[in-house]
Amino acid sequence: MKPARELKAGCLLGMRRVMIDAGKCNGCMTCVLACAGAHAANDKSIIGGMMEKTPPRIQVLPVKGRAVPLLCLHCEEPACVDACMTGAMRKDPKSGLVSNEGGEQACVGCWMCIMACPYGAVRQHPDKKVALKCDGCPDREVPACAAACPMDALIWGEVDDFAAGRAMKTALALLEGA
Amino acid sequence: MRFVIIGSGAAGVRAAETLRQIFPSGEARRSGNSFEDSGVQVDGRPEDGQVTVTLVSAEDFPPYSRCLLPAYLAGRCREEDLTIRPRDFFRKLGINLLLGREALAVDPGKKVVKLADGEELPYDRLLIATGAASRFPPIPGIDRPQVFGLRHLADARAIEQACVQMCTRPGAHAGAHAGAQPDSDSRLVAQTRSVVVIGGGFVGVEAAYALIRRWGAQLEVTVVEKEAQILPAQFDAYAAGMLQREMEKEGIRFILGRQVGEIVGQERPDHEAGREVGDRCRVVLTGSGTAGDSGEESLPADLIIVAAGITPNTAWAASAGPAVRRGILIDDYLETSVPGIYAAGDVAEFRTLSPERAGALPTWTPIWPNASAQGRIAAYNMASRRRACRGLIGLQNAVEFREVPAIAMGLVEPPVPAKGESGESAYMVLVKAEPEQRRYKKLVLYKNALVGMVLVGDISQAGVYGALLRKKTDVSRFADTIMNDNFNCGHLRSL
Ligand SMILES: Cc1cc2nc3c(=O)[nH]c(=O)nc-3n(C[C@H](O)[C@H](O)[C@H](O)COP(=O)(O)OP(=O)(O)OC[C@H]3O[C@@H](n4cnc5c(N)ncnc54)[C@H](O)[C@@H]3O)c2cc1C
Repeated sequence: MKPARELKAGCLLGMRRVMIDAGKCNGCMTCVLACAGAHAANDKSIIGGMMEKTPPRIQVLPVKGRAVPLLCLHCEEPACVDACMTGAMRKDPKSGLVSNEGGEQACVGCWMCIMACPYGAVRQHPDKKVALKCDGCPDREVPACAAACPMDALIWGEVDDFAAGRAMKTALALLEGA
Repeated sequence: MRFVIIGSGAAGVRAAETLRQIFPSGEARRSGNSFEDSGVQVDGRPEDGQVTVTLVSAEDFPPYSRCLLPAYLAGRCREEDLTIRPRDFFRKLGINLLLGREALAVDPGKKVVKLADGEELPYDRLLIATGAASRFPPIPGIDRPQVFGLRHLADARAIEQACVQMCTRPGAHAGAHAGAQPDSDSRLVAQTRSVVVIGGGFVGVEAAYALIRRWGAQLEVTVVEKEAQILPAQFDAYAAGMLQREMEKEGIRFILGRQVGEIVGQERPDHEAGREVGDRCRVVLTGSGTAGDSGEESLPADLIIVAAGITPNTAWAASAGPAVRRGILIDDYLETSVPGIYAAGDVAEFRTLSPERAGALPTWTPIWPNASAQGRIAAYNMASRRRACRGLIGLQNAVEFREVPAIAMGLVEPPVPAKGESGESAYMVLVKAEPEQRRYKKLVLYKNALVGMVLVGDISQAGVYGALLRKKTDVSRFADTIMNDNFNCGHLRSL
């Protein structure tokens, strides 16, 4: 009998992800601006994001006077994918990235993914009736947030190191598989 | 290994695709959509072609989401938008999709499923994922032609057709409420068309909201609910009241605390000749209703939608002899009492409450996310990758009416202490109501663990609360922040 971990669809092992080292975050919000810029329709810069009022997909959460960055972890078995009633939310079998954009099925903003995500990483789009989440910057070498972070609070690396190093370990352990 | 899945809803589709992730075939295998290519070792995988995955549906339409049927009725999406997978998905993955084929029986000795057209489908592992059907309560007149359920695309098409007929033929009322635009097809005002929805649960309320948004100018829509509030299975009375008021602003009328006792025919006035939907009828009400009830004894109805719950589709599989309570009974590995036959989704019911599900959580959990998760995990077990299915919350739902989103989960109202029971309740309820902002938040705790929640307006942290609820985490350590507007998963670091 094989242990359950090996069965998981699109295993993360060896894949590169943005890891969060919350202790290093000083709340400068550069990641938020960079994310918004990267997702601007035309000018994909911080200024472009501001001009086009693109909503960011990464959040910097206030936690007792400290800042904690939060973005989608692109789970091995994403609860949001199970919950999605239109089939828009998918985990790409190759990249392992979870996204509700770019497929044949459209997101209708039913919020089932928001109900399902144990991290609160999916949000309502401020202007449209669709769910908004990190798409992992599939067209970039390094995701915009990690590339922009001046504090090394967001690090682009292989999942193995990530698991060991992440400062949100307790929270994640608590919520994992929930 | 022949895998056969009967039913192509959330559970069936998720099971089929998961089986094909474990045992990739054809194109998917070549293009790398497999475990193998993502670095996962899958032992004992049979050679290409040795595994077949067959997905059978009685419905003659590619797998679709019935959750979107209200949006379809509201005219917000077309039929082709209902499908839940890309057009060539099943072919690419090597899933044999048989549409419009009804399964009639299972012969577990011969290991075949008998289809209505006489074909026998052999299987090694079978998944029953036939979902549920609308429940029609035994009310006299419920079989009248104006009465519809809302479960399948065929139901939605029939309701739509009836509405179009009612709203466009001569005599349809143009302008049931002020400011409404007359439909271009409708002519002289004669009579308002009336829709009665029996049942103020999720499906009933969604159906009413859909019809009023599309045909509010020509239709009057009334929801009759036997409990004293709408959405009684999901929301507490306060949140239900907030959502009800939003829907009343759209023009939906609610009659609460009363039941439909009978549906009687009504003679058709002459000028209405030519009607195809059938005669108008009257819905006879029983019970005294909640405060402010108009006290009327019956309501006219041109169209009646029954949304009084669902019945799992278990009968066709009875020949296999699985144990059945409300649904087909399954263990934690989603296997029925018949070895090799599994069940998942609305048709299935857990035999027992595992410790993770104990408490307020029922054994039958008929919602989309649970059907998907069960289908996925059933696939692992069918593929002999043993995996328990735990921690599903039965009662949870997300709704949005007039841009007010709301999510409820678990036990939203602590049980009333039994008579003679004394001492402090082990339950604690935390509430924050801001009705002007259309915001409301309620957490129900049992011995320091979150067992229920209601969020209206701000739903951003619903999943975080949900995780705490599923994990039965002791939340006393962040009692000071848990009700804050900015409570988030970062707070759990301090654990
Ligand atoms: C109007 C509406 C709105 C809803 N909205 C929500 C929502 O917002 N959120 C939520 O969580 N849930 C919602 N639900 C519930 C959700 O749709 C179900 O929980 C989910 O579809 C269950 O999936 P399933 O795979 O178990 O069964 P189903 O989706 O019912 O699929 C079963 C399939 O099996 C087929 N079948 C049945 N018998 C046979 C047979 N003998 N042979 C062959 N095929 C057969 C059926 O035709 C059907 O296609 C809604 C339901 C309805 C009706």
